Amino acid sequence: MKLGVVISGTIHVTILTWGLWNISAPEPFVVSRVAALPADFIPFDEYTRSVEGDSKASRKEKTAPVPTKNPPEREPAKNVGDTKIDIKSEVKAPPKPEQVDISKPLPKAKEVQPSPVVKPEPQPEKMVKETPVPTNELSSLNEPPKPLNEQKFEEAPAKADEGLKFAKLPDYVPLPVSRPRPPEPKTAKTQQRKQPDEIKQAIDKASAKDEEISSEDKIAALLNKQDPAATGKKRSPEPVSLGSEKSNSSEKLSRSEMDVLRNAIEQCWNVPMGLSDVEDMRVTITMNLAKDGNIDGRVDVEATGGQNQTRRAFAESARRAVLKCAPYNLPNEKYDTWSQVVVNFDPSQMF
Amino acid sequence: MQKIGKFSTQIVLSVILACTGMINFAMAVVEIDITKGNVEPLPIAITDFQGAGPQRQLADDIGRVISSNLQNSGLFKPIAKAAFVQKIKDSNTVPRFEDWRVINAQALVTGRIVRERDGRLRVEYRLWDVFGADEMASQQFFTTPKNWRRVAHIISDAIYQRMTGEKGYFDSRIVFVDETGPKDKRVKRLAIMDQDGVNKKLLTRGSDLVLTPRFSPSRQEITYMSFEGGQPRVYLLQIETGQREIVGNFPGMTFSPRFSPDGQKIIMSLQTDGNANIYTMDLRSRKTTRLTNTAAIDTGPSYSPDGKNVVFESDRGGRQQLYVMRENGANTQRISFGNGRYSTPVWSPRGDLIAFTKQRGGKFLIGVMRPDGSKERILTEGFHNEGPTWAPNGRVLMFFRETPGAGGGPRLYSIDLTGYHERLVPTESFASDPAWSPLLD
Repeated sequence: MKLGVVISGTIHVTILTWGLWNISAPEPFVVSRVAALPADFIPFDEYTRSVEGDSKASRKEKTAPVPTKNPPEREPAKNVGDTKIDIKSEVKAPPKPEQVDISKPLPKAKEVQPSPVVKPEPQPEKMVKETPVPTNELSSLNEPPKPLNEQKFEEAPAKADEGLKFAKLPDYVPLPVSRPRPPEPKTAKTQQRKQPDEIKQAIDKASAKDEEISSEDKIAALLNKQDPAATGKKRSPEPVSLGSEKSNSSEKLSRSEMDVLRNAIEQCWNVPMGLSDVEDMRVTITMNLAKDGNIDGRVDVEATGGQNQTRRAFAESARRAVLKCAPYNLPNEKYDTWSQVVVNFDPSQMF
Repeated sequence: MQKIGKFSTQIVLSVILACTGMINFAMAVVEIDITKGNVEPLPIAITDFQGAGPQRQLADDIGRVISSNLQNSGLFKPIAKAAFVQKIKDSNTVPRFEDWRVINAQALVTGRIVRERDGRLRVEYRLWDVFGADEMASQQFFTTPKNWRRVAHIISDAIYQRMTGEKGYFDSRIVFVDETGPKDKRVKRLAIMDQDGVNKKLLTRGSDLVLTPRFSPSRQEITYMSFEGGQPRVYLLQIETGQREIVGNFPGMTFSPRFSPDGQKIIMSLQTDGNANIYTMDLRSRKTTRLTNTAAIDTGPSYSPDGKNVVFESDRGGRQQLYVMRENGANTQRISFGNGRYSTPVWSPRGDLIAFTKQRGGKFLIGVMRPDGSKERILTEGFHNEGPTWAPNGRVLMFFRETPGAGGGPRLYSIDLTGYHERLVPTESFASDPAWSPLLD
């Protein structure tokens, strides 16, 4: 009993001592410090749209489709019939039968002399006898010239049934004047492509067909270019074009672009410090921007809160800020999104 | 619970409204919120005023005073004249705004001085909005040539008010204690000067010690404490006539007087038997009213601008702290709870803040807090700062700062509410206990 305890204790102490030195804690997992990167969240569809088109491709504009015209309306047919074209004849009632007085003797019918039958004159058949003219061309050939008249047709070999009459064959047949040429050897060819001229002709032809399109429409169609679609995806049949001029409506200024704009205006804004009631004052400035980033027309200033004097000073400081900051540097291709900018000045967090 | 339910429905409603708003505007309009801005002073170009002959020097001086006033306010940064692109030849023509935009001037001041037939001066100025390309203000003043400095101050006030929306404070004066002589034998005299430190005028002879002068809000009067006759007493002094009188006939020592906002009453402390209480005296009826009745020292009373409340310091809680009570002495509440001792409270003429001196860790700090004691902010600290007084517009404080050592002494400083723009007010000699006047009429 006592020995067992001693042995057990000794083994326990040995294992624990061994473990203390050998089963050590693992190396700490050191993660190197990485500076935070600014990230924008972009929805998938927006990304897809943004990669459409090729920034290096040239702009390809398409002519606007020619407006179609309704075919002239046809008046309802007046006559019922099978004809496709409506004959505009007056509908006539069938003639009424004349009333005949039976009591009166019928008028004497006139004797009608039969007109002599004109016999068609038998016209002599015009037999054109082509006299073959000996040509010199034949002599150029290597073959020995043959007298044309000597050509004979073989008579039917069976002479037994002479009673049968055969159609008389012509005495001669014209000979081919040139030797038949062997067909040209066909070589492997690339698929035939239409040359630009051909395409143009085809277009002209096609447009010529459509007589209804007036020349004015055609000019209008040429002038009225459609904005190029931002196509150029792999399977698109459209030619690659330089993005679309008109942005997709869902395209917005990215968060970082908005931040740039915000920072610029914040830098330009000299806050009137220490105004009373400044926490309650708000100014909203609405301005239209031209494509070069300058302010287009007047800026619209709306101010609320505070007293008249301080509100005016505050609104003017905000107005000065947006005027001073112009021209604004914003992405040109998104002009539609920033053609109008609304700036809210809210100093409530400042003081 | 019902309140919470109502609140949450409001939130849901506002979220829905906000969402529909976003859908409507997200298509065509970029909308951004500006919640912070540049707190740098506003760059302003102040051109030399036009003036012919003898007015040339005066024109320069007026421009200089305006420039210095605006710069001292801490809200404006006058642009160096060397940077100007356009030289203004005629102040009545519209300037070339592009030239002023280039040097980033947000506002432009032009003006001229003409001597009239009767010998008076006509001083005109125009204030231009450079980026808006528009005139913001223009005025003309007639005055005697001797009074040119006051005109410069009035123009400064007009520009300040037009640009900031707040009333200016440049056309105002400071009454203070002028200190001369060595530290152990100081001569203290009452003096008055313009807020920019010029035109100093002594009001007392200096035979007796004077302390804590205060301006009347309505008349050219000063109340102060003097040790004349060996007993500290509160006096009233007419600036124009020099006439003096003792305020109230109290048996004990009276000190730290201050006018009520309507100028009809003086509020002060009266010490009897080791404790001090606050009294008021009506200047017309000479009737005195006791407001506090404690065994502690209650002193440094100051009215709120509407006259309904009084802030004062008291050690009734063991340490000097600030308390607010109704003007009849009821409903006393402690407002200062920070670490340290609070003294010399002054209610801002705007009513929104109370300035104070705070002692903490052997230093004197000047700070402001709201009348309910919240939002305490320290503006400046140093070896010995004391006695804040408010500029008439409640935007700037003036106080005195004492430097240590045998050659040290008090000087006047001004600081704006942001705490960034502190400057020394130039005085010929040492100066303490400043009190700002209301705007002159």
